[in-house]
Amino acid sequence: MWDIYRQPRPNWRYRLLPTDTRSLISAVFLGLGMTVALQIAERIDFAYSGGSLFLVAVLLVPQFENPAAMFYGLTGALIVAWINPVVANLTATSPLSFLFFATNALHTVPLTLMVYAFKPKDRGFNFLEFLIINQVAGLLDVLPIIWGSIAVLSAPTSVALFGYLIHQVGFFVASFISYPIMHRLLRSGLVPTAELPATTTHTA
Amino acid sequence: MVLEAQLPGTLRRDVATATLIARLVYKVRRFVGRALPRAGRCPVVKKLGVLVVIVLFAVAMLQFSLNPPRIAALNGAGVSQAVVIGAVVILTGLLGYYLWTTSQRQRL
Repeated sequence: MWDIYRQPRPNWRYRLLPTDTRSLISAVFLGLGMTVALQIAERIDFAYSGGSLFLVAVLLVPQFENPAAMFYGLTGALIVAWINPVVANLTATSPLSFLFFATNALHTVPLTLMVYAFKPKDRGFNFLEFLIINQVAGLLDVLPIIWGSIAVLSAPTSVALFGYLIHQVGFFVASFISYPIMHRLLRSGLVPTAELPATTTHTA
Repeated sequence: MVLEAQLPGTLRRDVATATLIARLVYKVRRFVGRALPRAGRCPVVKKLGVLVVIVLFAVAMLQFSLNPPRIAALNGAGVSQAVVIGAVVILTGLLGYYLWTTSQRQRL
């Protein structure tokens, strides 16, 4: 079961601004998938916390945003980051939903830039590297929520900071789910620049 | 009559201004097109550049959050305002993306 965390990811050629159809369509579908998942997750979050915590959403968001940012560059990152907030604002899933433009972009854009700067050319990330960059992106992601909790929901500063730290635990746990999913995605043929081992007999 | 007399001069000035702007845009694009790949090849400059861009982006996004579309009560007007701002942001991104791909195609 833990074997997958010991394997570094298959390599892929990172492109900052891909323009091919497969990348764009994959990114749009990831965005739509995230929107559907978050419509449910944000309502669950609103039900138990009144919109001050997003623990279920935080577990789901990296499953869509990480592949988009890492495989489909800045294009995929922005598409996936900004489809959900439009729907979340229209359907008013949370009192802080207007902040989702900032939070989602603060997750995906730094992530894609970190991949651009730090990804080794000859291999994919191993689990530790992935864990670190996902956590840094998570630290940036929830920053606007602190302000939102204090100014919009009138929560005390200590409560807002506690929420910020709790979300980091969520991002840490989400990395463990996201890593195997991205392994599978790389092998699925949806990443045009994936460099799979020669032994893999993949047809799709 | 007065307008007719002024027209050629005005037109000439307009053409001169448009040419100047086009030349400036071309020079800036050529500079960016040459400087960015050169910076990207140096690992230290690349990492520092990425760090600076991330910090600037975070500041911009926080600024966006600190001046929110006033929807604390989630009223209808606030939501539509937020959606309009979101649409503007997305359209700006798409425009930038279009310009980038156009410049790439021209360079090829």
